Amino acid sequence: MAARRFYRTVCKYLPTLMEMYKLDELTTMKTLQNSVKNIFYQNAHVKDLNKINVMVHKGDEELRLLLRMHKQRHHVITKYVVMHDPWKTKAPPSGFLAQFYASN
Amino acid sequence: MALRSIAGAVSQAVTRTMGVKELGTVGAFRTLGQTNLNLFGTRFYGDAALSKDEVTARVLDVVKNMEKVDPAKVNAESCDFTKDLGLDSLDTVEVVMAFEEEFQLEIPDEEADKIASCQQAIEYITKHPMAK
Repeated sequence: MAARRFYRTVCKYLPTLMEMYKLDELTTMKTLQNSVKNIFYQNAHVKDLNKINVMVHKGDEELRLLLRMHKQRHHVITKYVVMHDPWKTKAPPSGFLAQFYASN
Repeated sequence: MALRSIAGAVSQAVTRTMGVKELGTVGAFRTLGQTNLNLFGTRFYGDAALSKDEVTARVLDVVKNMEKVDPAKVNAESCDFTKDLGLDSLDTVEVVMAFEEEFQLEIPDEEADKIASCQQAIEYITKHPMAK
């Protein structure tokens, strides 16, 4: 299927993209690959061939934009590199207060 | 005067120790660089293709190291990626790419779509002349 071939192309370009946008400071290849895979899985329920072709075409367009560096690093980070968003999720609580109360 | 002599003694001691170390490393480099084996004019003949057992072992290792795969289910005869190992199509793509990386091959898209089990992968790789 076209989606499979497109995923193959994307995986082959992932090292190039990681080097271009210097993503090795932020994630590993595996996590990046998994986040790209999740985007594929979000649309896995679509069965209509025309819709799938349009989605693959859009994905191909996105890939070309990234490869020619028409987008910037923060675009890539926002969309593909999953990071802890302080406005949406809380950080895990540190046990400082519990220890403090217990010590005094 | 005294300071100068002390400085001189210290520097001499330093250069002495440093000199011994430097000579040691430089000497090691020199011996490593030169080899006494002169291969000019000699020819070697050998079978460069991989044997099927080696290919099978390496393919199974690659499949076992994949994250979504249960290593107990992987056996040489019957490991179809979708039916036996429970991988979906994107995982199959990843497995084929792992084979490409392991054997340093470039599998074209049409051939890669056909590989759906370990057995087919082993057959394809053994037939490929450039597999390492």
